[in-house]
Amino acid sequence: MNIRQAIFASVASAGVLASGWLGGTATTTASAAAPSTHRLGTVAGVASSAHHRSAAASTTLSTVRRGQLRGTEPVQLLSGPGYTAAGYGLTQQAALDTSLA
Amino acid sequence: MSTPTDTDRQFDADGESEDPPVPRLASRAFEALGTMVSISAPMDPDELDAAVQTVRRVFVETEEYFGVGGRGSVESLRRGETELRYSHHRLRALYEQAIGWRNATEGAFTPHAPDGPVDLRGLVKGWAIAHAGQAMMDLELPHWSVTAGGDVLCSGSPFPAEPTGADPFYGRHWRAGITDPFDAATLVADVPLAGTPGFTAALATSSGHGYGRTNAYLQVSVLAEDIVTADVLSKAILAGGPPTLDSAVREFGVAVLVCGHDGELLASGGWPLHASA
Repeated sequence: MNIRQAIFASVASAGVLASGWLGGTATTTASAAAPSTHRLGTVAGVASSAHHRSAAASTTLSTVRRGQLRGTEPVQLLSGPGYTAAGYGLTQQAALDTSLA
Repeated sequence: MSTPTDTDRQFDADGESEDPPVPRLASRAFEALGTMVSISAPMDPDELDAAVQTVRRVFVETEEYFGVGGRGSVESLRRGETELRYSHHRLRALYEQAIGWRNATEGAFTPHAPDGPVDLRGLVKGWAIAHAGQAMMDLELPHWSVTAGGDVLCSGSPFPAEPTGADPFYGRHWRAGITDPFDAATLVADVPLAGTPGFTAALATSSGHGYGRTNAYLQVSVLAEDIVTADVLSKAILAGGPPTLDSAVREFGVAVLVCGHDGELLASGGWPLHASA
């Protein structure tokens, strides 16, 4: 257990850990990009091609209503599909302004 | 690298007047890797400016390191003008990483365009964001966010309960909005991220506009601990559909929100929902 994990365990046990979605370990990442220990798709051929759309339904997903996804608090950050600099800046700023309004 | 278009925005503490004074949340934005990079942190603007110079350097070096833009190496590969075997070892190393992801996702993620050329631009952006976050950590800044082209990486809180450095272990989490695939100027969801310094949270969103393929979903958002995982898996799930999604949730512990082509919204069990619904 490194120092950050120790801090994590300490604050979590004390009940003061903030409630935001959080990864389970305390590293940032620059080296976290390698997927060597993980492998998706245990059934051969299930997701064998990026060009095929599978008809199988996900066993993980549940339908949610928009009201379950949007709160009333303003957002500070925005996520969306990538755009060019100009396009991204305009659309994302509009979304941020709408959220803060 | 273009002239920066800095912004300096202040957010209040949402009416929690009993809280001790909090640092102002300041933001800076600049253009890099063909998109907008934004850095936010609750700290004095002068201090943030100094930190942003470091982060900006990360992106500049990334562009130089991988030859992004113009007639650089990444673009030459993408256009098929250069063969990978003749590329710089840095690019080959990144390609090997991409192949690792391709294997891990059973081909749902691929660094190849359908007609063959290698396109490493997406991984380069994730690489830059990850290293920018590490730079903020190295500066011993507990509360920060880095966004680039719609990918988000953050740590700590935008509104620490105590001034930064006094008690960095408690504060309000960041809140990130996800743009609506049918109207990018509005939000379809928002999620709390991080809240505890030193522990990162990442959010990436991919849409169905890629290489003309018919993707399984219209838009996919992935919450993960690191930005490369979030970014790669959002693309993999978009292409691979339900099997890839189920495996990603099971094997990587990510949370996923998808929007179908018909507008239906589906979330994995770990996706944060608002209780008031």
